[in-house]
Amino acid sequence: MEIVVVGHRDTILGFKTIGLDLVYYENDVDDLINQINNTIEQGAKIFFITESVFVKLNKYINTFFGKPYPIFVPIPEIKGSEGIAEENIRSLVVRALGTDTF
Amino acid sequence: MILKVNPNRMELMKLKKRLTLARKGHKLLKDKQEQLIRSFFQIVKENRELRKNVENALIEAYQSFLVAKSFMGDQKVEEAILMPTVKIKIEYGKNQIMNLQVPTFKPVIEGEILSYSTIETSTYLDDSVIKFREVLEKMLILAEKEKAIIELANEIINTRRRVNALEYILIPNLIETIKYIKDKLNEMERSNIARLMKIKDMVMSD
Repeated sequence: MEIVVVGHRDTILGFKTIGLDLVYYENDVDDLINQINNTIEQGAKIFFITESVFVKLNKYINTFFGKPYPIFVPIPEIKGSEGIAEENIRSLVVRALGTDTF
Repeated sequence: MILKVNPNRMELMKLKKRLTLARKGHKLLKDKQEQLIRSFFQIVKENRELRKNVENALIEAYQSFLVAKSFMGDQKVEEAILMPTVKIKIEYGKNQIMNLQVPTFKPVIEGEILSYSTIETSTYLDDSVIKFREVLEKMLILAEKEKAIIELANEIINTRRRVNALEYILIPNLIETIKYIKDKLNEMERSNIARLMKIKDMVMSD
C-alpha cells in the first residue's frame, strides 16, 4: 500500500496487473480527496496521478508542500501528455528562482 | 536603522566582530545558493529527459493493455487481474545534495508477476504486464527526481531569504550603527577637549 495510482478507471486499470493500489476518480473531487486521505493513513507514500485529475487536485496537493511525504507525481493520460507535469515543474522553477528560465 | 546599543568602545568592538561574522556568513550563504541553483538546474534537466522517457513507455504500456482488453473483452481481463499475487514494496534510501537529504526509492517485488492462468488469457496481456512492470522502476526514479526538485526549490527559497536578510538588513544596520558610535565617540572627545581648553583658560586667567 505504498504506491497508489489515481485516475480514471479506464486509464489506470493496467497498473492493477503489477499489484499497485488504485483509487478511481469518479467526477467527485471531495470524495477522491477523502479516499486519498484514507490511503495516506494506511501508509501510502507515493501517488501517481493522471494529469487531468492532477489539475483538479492542485490545491490539495499544494497543502503538502514542504512535507517529506506523500509525494505526488503526475503521469500522462492514455492519449498522451498535455504538458501539465512540465507546467508543474516550471512553476516550481519560477517559485525558486523568481524568473522563468526553464 | 540604528541598533539599540550604548555608544561606547566596548559595543563598538562587539559590533565590528559581528559585522565581520555577518559578512563571512553572507559570503558562505551566497556560495551555497549558487551551488544549489546549479544542482537544481541539473536535476530539472535530467527530470525533463526522464519524464519524456517515462511518458512514452507509459503510453506504450497503456496501449498494450488496451489491445489486450479489446482482444479478450473487459470482463475477462478484469477477472484475470482481479487478485494480483505480486506485491510491490519500496526500499527507501537517502541521497545527499548539499545539506539536503532526498529520498531514493527502489522497488522490491514479492511474488509472481503473472498471477493468472495463461490458458484463458491472451499473450497481449502478458506483454502489457511486463511493460507496466518495466515502467514502474522508471516511474519511481521520476518520483525521486521530482521530490528532489521540490526540496531543492524549498531550500533555494529559504537560502535566498537568509542571504537577502543579511545583505539588505543586518549588514547595513551594523555599518550604520558602527558609524553612529564612532561619531558619538568623536563628538565626546571633541567636547572633552573643548572643556579642557576652557578650564585651562580659566586656570591661566587666575
